[in-house]
Amino acid sequence: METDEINEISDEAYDVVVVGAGHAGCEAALAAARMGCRTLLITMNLDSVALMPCNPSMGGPAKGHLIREIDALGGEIGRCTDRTFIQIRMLNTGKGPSVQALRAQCDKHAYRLTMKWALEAQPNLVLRQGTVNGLITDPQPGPDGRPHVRGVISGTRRFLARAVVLTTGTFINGRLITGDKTTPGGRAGEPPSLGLSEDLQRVGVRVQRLKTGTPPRIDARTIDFSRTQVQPGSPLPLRFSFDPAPPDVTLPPGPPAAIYPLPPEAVTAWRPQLPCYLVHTNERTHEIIRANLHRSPLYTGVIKGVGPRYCPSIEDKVVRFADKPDHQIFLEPEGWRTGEVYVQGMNTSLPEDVQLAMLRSIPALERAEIMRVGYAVEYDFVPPDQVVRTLETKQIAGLFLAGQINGTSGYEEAAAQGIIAGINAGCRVQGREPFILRRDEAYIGVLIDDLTTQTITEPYRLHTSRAEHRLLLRQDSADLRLTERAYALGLVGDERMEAVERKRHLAAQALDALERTIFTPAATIQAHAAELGMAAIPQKMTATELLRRPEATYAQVAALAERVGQPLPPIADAATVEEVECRVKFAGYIERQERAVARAAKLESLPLPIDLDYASVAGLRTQARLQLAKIRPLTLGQAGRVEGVTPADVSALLIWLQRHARQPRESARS
Amino acid sequence: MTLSTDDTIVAIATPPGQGGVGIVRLSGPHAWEIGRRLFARRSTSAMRPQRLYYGTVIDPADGAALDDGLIVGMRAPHSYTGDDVIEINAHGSPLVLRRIVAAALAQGARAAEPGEMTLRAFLNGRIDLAQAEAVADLIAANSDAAARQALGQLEGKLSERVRTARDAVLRALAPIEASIDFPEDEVPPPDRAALSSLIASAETVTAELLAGAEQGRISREGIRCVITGRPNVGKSSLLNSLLRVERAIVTPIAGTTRDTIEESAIIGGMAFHLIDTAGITATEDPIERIGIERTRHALSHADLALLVLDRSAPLTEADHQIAQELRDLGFSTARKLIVVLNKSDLAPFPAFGRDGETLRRDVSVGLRAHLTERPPLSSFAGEELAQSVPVIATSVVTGEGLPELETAMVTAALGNAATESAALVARARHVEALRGASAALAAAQKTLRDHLPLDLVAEDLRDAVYALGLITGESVTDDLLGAIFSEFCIGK
Repeated sequence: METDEINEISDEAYDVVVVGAGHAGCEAALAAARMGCRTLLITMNLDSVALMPCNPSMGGPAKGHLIREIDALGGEIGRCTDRTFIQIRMLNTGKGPSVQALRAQCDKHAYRLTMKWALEAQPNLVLRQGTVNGLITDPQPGPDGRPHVRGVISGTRRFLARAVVLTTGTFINGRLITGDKTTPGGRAGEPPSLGLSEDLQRVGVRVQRLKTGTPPRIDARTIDFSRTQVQPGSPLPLRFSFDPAPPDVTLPPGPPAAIYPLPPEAVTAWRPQLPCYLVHTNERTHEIIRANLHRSPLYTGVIKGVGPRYCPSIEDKVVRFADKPDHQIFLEPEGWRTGEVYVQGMNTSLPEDVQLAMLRSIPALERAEIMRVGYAVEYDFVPPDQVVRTLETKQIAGLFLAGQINGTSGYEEAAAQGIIAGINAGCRVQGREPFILRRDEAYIGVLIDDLTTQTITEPYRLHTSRAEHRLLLRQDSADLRLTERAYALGLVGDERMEAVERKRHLAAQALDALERTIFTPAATIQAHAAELGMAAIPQKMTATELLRRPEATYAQVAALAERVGQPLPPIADAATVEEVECRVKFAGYIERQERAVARAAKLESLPLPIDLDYASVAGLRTQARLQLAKIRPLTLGQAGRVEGVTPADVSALLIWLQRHARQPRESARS
Repeated sequence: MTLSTDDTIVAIATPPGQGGVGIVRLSGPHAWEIGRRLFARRSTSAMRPQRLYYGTVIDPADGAALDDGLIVGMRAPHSYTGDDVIEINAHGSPLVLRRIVAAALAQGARAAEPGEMTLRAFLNGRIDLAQAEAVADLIAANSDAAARQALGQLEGKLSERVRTARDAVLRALAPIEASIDFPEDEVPPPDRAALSSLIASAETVTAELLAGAEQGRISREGIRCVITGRPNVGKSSLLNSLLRVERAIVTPIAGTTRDTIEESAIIGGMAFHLIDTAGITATEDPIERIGIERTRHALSHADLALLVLDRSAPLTEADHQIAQELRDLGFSTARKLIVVLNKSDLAPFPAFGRDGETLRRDVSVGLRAHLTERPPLSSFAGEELAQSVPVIATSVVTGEGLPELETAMVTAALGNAATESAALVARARHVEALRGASAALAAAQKTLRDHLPLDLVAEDLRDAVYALGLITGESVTDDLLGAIFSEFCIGK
């Protein structure tokens, strides 16, 4: 009797429980709460909310696109970055607009606190410290043949929920390795989460191991900055968020730490920024590494997990690219007022004495002192062929996985999955349709479609080259692509929606006006063109045709139109200008990609049952049969992307679908 | 991933053989346009859907009349496939129907893959269960073990060539993509001239393969296979059987004389030029002698000969004579020979035995038993025959042995380097993929010349890699990332 009462008290009921408050967990919890779900976010250490255990950098190609898309869906990562960056730059400015991307260097601690405050300020969201060591599931399968998740266990307490999102990062059976020292841990200084992996396996979820690593951090006061190359932040104002309101900067008070030299060319008027500093390894560094390879756990076999190709350790780089005389090393301040400097490019799990020796072989770092040692981490992940595109597990109804647990790497990849898992947990609780983004709609769609159809053999990082339709997925068009859908779910307010509508309307107006404005080769017009620095107009042409010239800008064309009395709509916003210029200049490419999307749409829209018995499908080849049974794609389009599936196999599936539609479930069950 | 559904395809819609009326069906966005060009009629009023019009079917290339016929058009989605459709009703002769198909191909249509019309009907939701079964059967037929093995070898050789082109494009693409995705790493800026020459090398390969794939060239340069044998062993019915199982229609070439009939067919993915000949007999008749000369001429230009024997009857003097002729022309040594024991549905002549496993030995023995008095042929029919010449029992009545014969024909053709490259890309799917790649490569060169940003060049090159991957079965992303990470030291 008494014990029952205690249970009554300690059981708390929520709509959605999110486990882990990293970048995935924060977005998942915020999205669910913003949709109106009563949400619990439970994490092992409230001082590590939204921690950046690796590089305190956000964005870059594809990753910056993800941040823009998460922001367009009402997520927090973009705003939080804008409030806390110590440097921001636009990358790929010499290339086309579809691959330009923002990259920011954040104040690691300001970021964490700013995100924690956003969580605390969110109605419907409860933030709790605690370690989850078990799942509560129904003993009996539900109507869809799967057991349903009912909550999580934390010590002696139970948190009941209608949907659970696991975002446990590298914490499940995590192991930290430096040289010959191995300690259990999820991150430096924090214990691993044990027990959850066994519990997942108990309910039929497969786990495998992956590896990643991080470089040493050194003390800024021991760096000879005079022997580095300064990399300043952008001289022009830049930010991630589409939010019409400018960010309220939440860096620690006061000026940046005086230990970082700020040459005049690195001073930016629009907002104070810190530079990063570039140095290079040399032959002596490489000799030290080669002489100590036998002490590297990567080469001694201590580390069994597979590491990422795009983020190799320094020992890997030296071995694999033996004839390269030097490698770049970026020294990145970890914050506004800290002397800790991240040594980017020096990712290693060699012993501490070797780490110090190789650092000191670099001229600027001759007196360097390590503040934190670099290490590799090995952890369990759940091969993501076990989740569907909502990120719900195939085995357990209502259980969602997001972030590194799905085998990805990167804060942005984690946050993207977090917001999708959180939205879908909310949709499930509220009885709404699943929220799925297609590959042609968003990099988030590319990411999740890849995870659910490809075999993960290294931590998955998104690259722009993974997207088929890069031109349709520009960072500046994320709001046009996604905000309307977020608005329908209550994830963004009226102000954001109105801004998107204004942008869309203005772009449409401008495109229309360009088409209707005609320039003739008349002498007066030629004179105006020459004055504006434009090439001659050889024959009668529309403003669209004029803008299509590689060097022409909307501003120029508008100025010319103004002078000849046919003014174009004035556009102040750079993103809208870019939208118009891209639509005109790359019209051929965009139309081609849109055609390809339309062609594939038919297949994409045909659903395949999750429990399809591939053995019963006539005409499938054995290899396709095995792969499809493993991956279990949800649409015919996805099936076509599964490795080893040919067009003939897709045809065979089409026929099966047709038959199935005609002989519904009765015969399948009997 | 799958066959495209936005181009126009053409096929003979009626069952093969001599029917009263045959139908050629065009399906796709340009069906009406092509159909109208193929049809000359007196009234110039606009054609309306669901109405029959009478007129003359012509080859628009030279205006030659092919046949009188009826034309009917249907507009999407009210048609069999759900596309815009044109059906041309002509007289049922296979030759006439193939000529109409050839004319449609020349006007820009693409030969339909087996079951492709039905597939479109599926995609457009216009199909019933019976038709669904029919498509399943077609796909199953495509994947039956013997045909698949032969096709596998062929596609392996094609893939090798395509892969060299694909590798060149990937090598061009890797530095562009690396510089896009890793702008802060030390990736040397791609050199436009080097890119252009890599693209050009890929263009050379696709152009060669496409030249080999041109329908006309397959007809002219496909594997020349002479069907020979004395009268009444079933040569013509064998020819018809081989045509009945053809996988796609290619341009027919009319026989130059009444004595040799030439037909083209795709067997196991390869183009065959099948030539039915008059028998070679000792004769003084001047007309027959002309026929024999022509047969000899056909044989002397053939890559492969089928020697058809009647398994239900003893070998004759004529069989012997033809065999000798074949031996003298170098078949079974320099050129390939297949012995076909036809009429296996009838009781076999005792000397040939009954058992399939001993058939090879039996035929050698049988030939020997009848021809021992003639030493040259006995050596041909003895050891040599047993070693290198396939002997296949067939029945055109029951269909027995025909799949084995097709496999043997493809295997024989594969051993012949001269015919291989012309026959490599006969499948419509491959031609389509190569055309896509070739267009994308040309676009990439233009984008380079126009000095547009390199990421746009990358878009073209990715289209090319994708199209070529449809043939080799490889995906863009994995190979591209592999190329990037193996070539550049990227490490953040």
